Amino acid sequence: MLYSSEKIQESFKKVLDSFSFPLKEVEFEEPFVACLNVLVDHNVSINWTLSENYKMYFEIIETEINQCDFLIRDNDLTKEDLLQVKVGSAEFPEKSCTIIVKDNALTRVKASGPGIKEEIETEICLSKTHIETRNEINKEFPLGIDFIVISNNSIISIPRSVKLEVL
Amino acid sequence: MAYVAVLGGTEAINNSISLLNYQLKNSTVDINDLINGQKYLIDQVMSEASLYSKKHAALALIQGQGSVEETVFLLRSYRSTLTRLHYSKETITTSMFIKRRISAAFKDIKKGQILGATFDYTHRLLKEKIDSTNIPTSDDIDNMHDFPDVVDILRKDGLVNEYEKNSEIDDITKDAIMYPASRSQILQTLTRAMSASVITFAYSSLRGYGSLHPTVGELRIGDVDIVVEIDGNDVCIGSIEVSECQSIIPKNISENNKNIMKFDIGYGLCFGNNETKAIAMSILENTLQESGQNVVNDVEYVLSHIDNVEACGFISHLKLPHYVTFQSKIDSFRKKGDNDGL
Repeated sequence: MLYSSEKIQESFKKVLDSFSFPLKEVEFEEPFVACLNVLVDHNVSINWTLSENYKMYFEIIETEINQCDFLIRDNDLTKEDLLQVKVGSAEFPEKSCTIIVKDNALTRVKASGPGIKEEIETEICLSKTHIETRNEINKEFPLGIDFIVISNNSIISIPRSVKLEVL
Repeated sequence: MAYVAVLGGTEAINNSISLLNYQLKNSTVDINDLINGQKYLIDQVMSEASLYSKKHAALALIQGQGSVEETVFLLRSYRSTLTRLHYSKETITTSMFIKRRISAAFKDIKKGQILGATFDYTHRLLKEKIDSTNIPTSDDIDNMHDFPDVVDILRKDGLVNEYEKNSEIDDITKDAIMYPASRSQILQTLTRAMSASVITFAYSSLRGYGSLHPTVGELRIGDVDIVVEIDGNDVCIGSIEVSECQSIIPKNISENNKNIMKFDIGYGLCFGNNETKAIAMSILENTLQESGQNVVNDVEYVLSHIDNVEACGFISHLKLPHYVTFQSKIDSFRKKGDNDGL
């Protein structure tokens, strides 16, 4: 489950690429494990509802939802969750929460912003409610939240700078 | 500042990378050559990258083709992907395995001055071949631990200005520095800074832009053990080589309505054998905590400009396309109407 340093570097670059090209599917053998390897150690705080096994490997520190650096949910993300997470401060907008989520919903959106040529229409695995809540939270840009949406063999990233419109 | 994404040129970029790699075609340098033969270079990049790994430093030097700037960038990037497993416990440097230890303040010091390996007494004559077969003699190789702190001689006489011990230690690799910076932030920034920059600023202070001429109370180079706590037990996970310097700086202070002379101690410590950097660091550590009008008293100025990746990165960004900003400059020239040639 723990990657070699070379594989972590490769995975890191791929996660970074996914943020550079929002909504682009970036493939991983094990997307969730790759994200944990790249983003998580005992220096970040997490709120999650996933298997306990991961905690041992990544020395995960669990924390309250309003304090967590990463919110991890597997088909059980709620609007209330999103409304509680950190959005950063004007001085340090990066001290906000990144949501890593797996969601069975499928919503058609129009997206534009940095990393997207003009605008695209696509479907993303996130419910309409979550997208609208996310848009509301990110109104105070650069404060806001970022998403990594996980599927079986890929991830897409939705940085806060991306404008999403539900179709 | 406006930037635009520039597309195209993929083939040219790929060819550029191939050419860069082609330059390594006839290279016969391997990791062990660098570790065994380029110690000071390895130590410099480990210090500036703030990653203590000779193997990775050598690997990065090969990939960076000897460019210190590129090597440090590679190591910092690699460092950022590593999992933070532990913070080490406090390291007491008097327990160091001494390889070199000198004092410019006192001739006779307890357990003596140990010159170790140094360029100080060489004649700087360029030689075609170096005789490396002589095995140096040592009186007491087994007794190189527990050398007392030289500056304690002054401390015992109450001549050293004492400060409160820092209760909390910041971590500049996790949180951005906010000014005024704490002492731990100053020390951490200095220890991973570009050697040349630290030396340049300290040199300016010596030459008059800070009017500070310290005396090296003690300079020691050696190995210190790194201990971490695992499941409640202290575990030594290995040792690293460090250079440590304590500079003695005379200072006028007011005590009980009297002006008296005391000594301040400037402190420097960095990875590997980097003694010039450690001495320079000890000077800056002191000047940055003093008020004054010189550059070396300006914490924000010094700390913001001495990091290798930040400084080289910002200079390098000038190579990126600035088409929009430059075009707007041309437009403003044209609007003035006195630049007919444009």
